[in-house]
Amino acid sequence: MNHVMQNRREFIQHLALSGSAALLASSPWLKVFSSNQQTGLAASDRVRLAIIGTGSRGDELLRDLVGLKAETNFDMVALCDNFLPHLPYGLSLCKSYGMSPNTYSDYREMLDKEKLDGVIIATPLHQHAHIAIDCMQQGIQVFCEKAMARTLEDTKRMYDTHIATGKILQIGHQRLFNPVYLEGMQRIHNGELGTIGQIRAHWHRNNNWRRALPNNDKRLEHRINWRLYKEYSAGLLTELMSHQIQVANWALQQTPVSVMGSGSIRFWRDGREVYDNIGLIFNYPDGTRFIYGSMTSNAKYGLEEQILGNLGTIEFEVNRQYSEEPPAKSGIQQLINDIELGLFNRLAIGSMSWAPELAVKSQGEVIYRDKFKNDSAIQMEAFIRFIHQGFAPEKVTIEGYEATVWCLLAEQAIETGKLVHRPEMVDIFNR
Amino acid sequence: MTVLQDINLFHTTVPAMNSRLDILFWGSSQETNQSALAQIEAETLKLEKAISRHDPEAELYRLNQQAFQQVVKPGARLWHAILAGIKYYKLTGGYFNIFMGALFQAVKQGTVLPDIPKVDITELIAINEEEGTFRFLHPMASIDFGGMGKGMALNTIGAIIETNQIPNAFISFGESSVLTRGRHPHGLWWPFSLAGGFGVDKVWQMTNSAISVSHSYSGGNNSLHIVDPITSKPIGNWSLVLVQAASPEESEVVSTALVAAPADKHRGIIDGFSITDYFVLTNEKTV
Repeated sequence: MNHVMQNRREFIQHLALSGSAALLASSPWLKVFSSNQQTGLAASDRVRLAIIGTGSRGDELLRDLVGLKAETNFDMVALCDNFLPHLPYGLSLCKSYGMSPNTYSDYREMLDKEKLDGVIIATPLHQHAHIAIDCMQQGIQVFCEKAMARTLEDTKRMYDTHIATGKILQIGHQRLFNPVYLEGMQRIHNGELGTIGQIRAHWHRNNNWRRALPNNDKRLEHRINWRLYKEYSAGLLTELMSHQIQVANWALQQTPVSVMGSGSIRFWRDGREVYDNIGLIFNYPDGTRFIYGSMTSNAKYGLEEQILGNLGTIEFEVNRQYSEEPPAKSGIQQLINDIELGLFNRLAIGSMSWAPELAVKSQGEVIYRDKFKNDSAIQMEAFIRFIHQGFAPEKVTIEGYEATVWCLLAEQAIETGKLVHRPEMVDIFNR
Repeated sequence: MTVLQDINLFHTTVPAMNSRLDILFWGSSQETNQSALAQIEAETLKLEKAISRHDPEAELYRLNQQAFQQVVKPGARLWHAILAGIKYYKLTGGYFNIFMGALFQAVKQGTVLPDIPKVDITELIAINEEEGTFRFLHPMASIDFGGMGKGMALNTIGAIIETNQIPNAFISFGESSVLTRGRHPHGLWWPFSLAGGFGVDKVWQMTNSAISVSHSYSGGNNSLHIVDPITSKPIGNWSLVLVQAASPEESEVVSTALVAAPADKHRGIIDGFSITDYFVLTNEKTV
């Protein structure tokens, strides 16, 4: 899959023309790009979409969507946000692309009045469940930002509604559509890293995470800064770690059996309730460990997922794979080749000494050579295509489901100080 | 035709001593090979943790920081290496000197240094052999085993090969420090020649022997690499030295010393060691 490409379009065309059977088997959600099916160019085929929650993330998704407008048959027919100042930007953006969505402050009114094929839900976490459930029950396909829901019960209800209604429930884990991750996961699943012993991930920032209140109106504190309060969010767990536990589960092709952890408010002691400093260990059935840390008072190490196997390492965020065994020098390789061929040739030695790259210092091999990385746009296009075909692979729901479950179980582990195992109530397979 | 399975060829590469260590055995069982490999990895790591000047966890790194301020007592392995360094200093007439590490490092990094007066080893370090202690006497003194460390490791590896009764082995640090045992699978020895040729069509036939190759310039940037320990000045001439000996440690020490020493000193240095063969190229002339 190592093509030099310039944009999303070429990536998708590449998948359509040459997506390998192995890739499509391991990443079935990509099959929607692999066929040359027409997505329906007629007005009657146009996918009618709405966004519920047009804050910062909703606007990002909207920007991704309008970028698809020229090539994808959809119309943004409605925007909804219960904080009215969030609406004008999205409305203006849509109009600049020839769309004139209606605006609403109450999603129920929108569902009553609009004929929708799909909705994109980008509200605060605690609102995901009831909105998604209402939409699915009204026959609307759903894309919901991660994490799925604030509680295990709501997460399970969302999933059960998805099963009962047969409606698409795609969760916003865009790395499932990222070429670096897709290529890297193939390599992991093909055994190039050997036996995975640990996955390490971190997401460190150095910022307040607190947003300014319009007109300094303190009554808006919980509405604007919902991520800081446990009623609405699990903080670093659901807002950041959810991506990376999804990556770990995807890499290992299994989910954890237990989790332990600790958290604190170490630096940002400003009345927030969520931790600004967390450390977790997830235990997988085969003994693999996923070790996670996140904090918001130091950004030196930023963001990374490190997949550590006995044969090599992948670091996804820097798009690198490293071998545990440094390559032999050319002279040695020639010696071995000669031995294999039955030749008795001299070995040339004593070339200029050099400082070899040790495995730990190696620059590594680039996993995917391409400038294009807008996985969020690809996931949006996938959602539209899923709507056209009427279904999505179950994997796009399961990945989000399991990531959410384990974020919330991690929260329990931190709160109780105990090792937390998966409860039966979240089981969705026969065990 | 000999096939690989018949000869049980075993090869692996591990990072060690800031280099690549290639280990090739043939004619021994997989179990023996794995056992020997484990011992080699363990022993080279122990050696590095004693004599590395770069690893903050190494004993030498710590003592290099402390020894100008106070008397220090190294562990047995490091102490033995220091005593060997002193012996080699004397045998090479001062052209092998492990006590000028700070100067060597500055030269490699291209740091402009003030003129450093010629110093004798007795002005660099005070040794108390009874107590097993030493102290630096000069602020520029620091210990650097760069000119013998790989040789020390190969000595240890040679002992492991013998203990495990591995009949045929080819061990290489970056293809510049090499130890052999037995022979090549398709010949009566391990055949070596100089990389790059230099117009030299000589083949070294090695069985139970070691070779060390040293240059006055290093690396892709062709930077100055060797300091004349007598004058404290970098060696400005290009030279390449190959030394073959039974002892890997001696072959490395002598190859390092011959790069630093002028040609008229070479014979005297060689005579102080048990050297099987040596070869020197300098400014494209064979000496």
